Amino acid sequence: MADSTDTLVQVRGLTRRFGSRRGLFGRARTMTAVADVDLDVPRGRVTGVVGESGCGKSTLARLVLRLLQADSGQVLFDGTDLATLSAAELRRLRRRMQFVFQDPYSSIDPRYTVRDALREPFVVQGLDTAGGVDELMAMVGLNPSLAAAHPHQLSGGQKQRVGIARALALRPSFLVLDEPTASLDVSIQAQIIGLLEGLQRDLGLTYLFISHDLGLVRYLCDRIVVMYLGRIVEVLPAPGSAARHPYTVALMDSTFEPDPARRRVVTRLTGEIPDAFNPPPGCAYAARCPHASDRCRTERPTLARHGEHELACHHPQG
Amino acid sequence: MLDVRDLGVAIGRVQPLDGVALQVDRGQVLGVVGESGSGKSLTALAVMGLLPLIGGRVSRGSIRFDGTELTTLAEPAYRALRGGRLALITQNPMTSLDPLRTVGWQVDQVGRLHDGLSPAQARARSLDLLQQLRIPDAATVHQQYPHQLSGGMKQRIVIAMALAGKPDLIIADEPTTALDVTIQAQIIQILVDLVRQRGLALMLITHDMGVVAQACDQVVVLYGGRVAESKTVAATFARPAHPYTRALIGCIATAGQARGTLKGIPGVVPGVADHAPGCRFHPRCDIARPLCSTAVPVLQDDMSGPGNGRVACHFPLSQGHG
Repeated sequence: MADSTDTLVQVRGLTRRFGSRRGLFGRARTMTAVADVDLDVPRGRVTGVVGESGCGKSTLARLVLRLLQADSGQVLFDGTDLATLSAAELRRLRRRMQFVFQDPYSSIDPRYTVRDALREPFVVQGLDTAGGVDELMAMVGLNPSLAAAHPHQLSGGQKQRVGIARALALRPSFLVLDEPTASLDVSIQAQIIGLLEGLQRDLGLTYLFISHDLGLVRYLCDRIVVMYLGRIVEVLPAPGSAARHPYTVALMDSTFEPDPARRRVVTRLTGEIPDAFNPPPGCAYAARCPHASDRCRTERPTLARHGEHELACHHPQG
Repeated sequence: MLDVRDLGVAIGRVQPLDGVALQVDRGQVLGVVGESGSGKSLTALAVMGLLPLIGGRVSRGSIRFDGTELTTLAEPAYRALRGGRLALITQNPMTSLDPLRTVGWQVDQVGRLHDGLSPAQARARSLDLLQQLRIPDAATVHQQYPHQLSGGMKQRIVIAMALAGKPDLIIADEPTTALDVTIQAQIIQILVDLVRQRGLALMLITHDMGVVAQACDQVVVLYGGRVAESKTVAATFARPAHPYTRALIGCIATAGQARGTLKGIPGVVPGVADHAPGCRFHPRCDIARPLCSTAVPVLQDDMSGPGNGRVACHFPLSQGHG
């Protein structure tokens, strides 16, 4: 484990299940969206969580900020267990940890102007807004003339700048960013990533950056956590670390470089991501994995440390 | 196979496409690339003869498909082409699938309508197609409804429907944008293999320069409804001549790229009615000069080398500008 002074957020054994209610024809079923996840988020660094839809990355993001309650496990923020806090204590702590959504305006009243949206965090916390709004807008590169604009008058990139400004309003030290650029055009995505990089560097922020885009994660993040069907399968200690889990290898092979000289031969992954309501007994990736053995289909590999690298695989590559 | 020249499209008074030109040959993948609002999907609709659906029309230029002029083609003849020799694959497979019918029935239907096959013949051909698309347990999938299938599987069914019509040209409009990356990679691979093995022509519409680099032979870059640049994929990436092409490539992080070096493109794509005079890209261009805001650059040969295609820029990068 990393020294706790270097670790801003420690996650231990975090688990969250969701149930589907009994339907017309079916029985009630449960699926485990996040299963027994341990994760250290180093202070002042960018930790990336990457995986495909249904891997549990967005649920994990919400659990870490206690926007969702965990069924079991702990989240320690700077040594404080979030589950032990009263509502008032949690609200106070929220000044230090904030969430950036993929579509920030899905949670903002469409009748709000940009100014209203940026005032709201101060109001909720009972703080004075004096000067705060203008400063925030400058920080995220929004023209002051947009303060009176309504969301429908903003482009996608401008809306995401407002979302980032809102998250920064209370001077947090920790941001959880859930696919903040996934719905933007590539040109705008690159603008927003540049903004996030600058803010992280200038304000010394700690990021937990959730994305399905391994290329982007490798560019932006110091450490990369790979999830598959609710579990961490690999932690790469550096963006350039070689992948050893066959799933991470497949993700890398599926990420096309903008260079025709480096075309990839796409390995023919057979099968699909298993049904989360009915996961296989062994390794969740076994059905798609070219290296799977009988052991993989019966015995689930645990996440083991190899120095700074962490891996859950019976047949590591490389 | 497809030869589009000086294509203009009007919707009411606005002119969202203004002089688009592109060619696709058999056995070739043409990438049509640009941001949202650049005119990529409109080009696809124009070729498919589907502009009336959105209240648009071809205002000038020509679209020739295997020698046949499509802009003046009567609707019954167009209908015979669509879903037959001319296929469209859209971003959302549910645009093309009926939720109340099994996917097998839907693939069978193409063979029955276009080729007059018997139900048994159509089913046999559908199963064969599903197997060619590497759909495991094709006989089971054939009997399933769309909601029982994953997004990647549904997109394969749509591709199977397109193939059942024995197309000469497939237009795929962002076919993998809604899919997970590993599934995207497989679908792109399937499409490229089809082009190579069957000699189809594929027009692949995408905003992703990574997909372009992976899959395409030729590239047309659109901006504001005009062609910015048009050349081979190798030349596009090695020697982009239009500043917009260079900027688009620069938006994608490459492996090992140093942090702080990823560049976006300032500003946003303007709406169709708000285009700047002169070169439409000039307000966002980092090497724009006064001429760019007054004169529209003409699409002409890029003189930097043989086979370098065409570029519409007053100061192309390949000639030492920028």
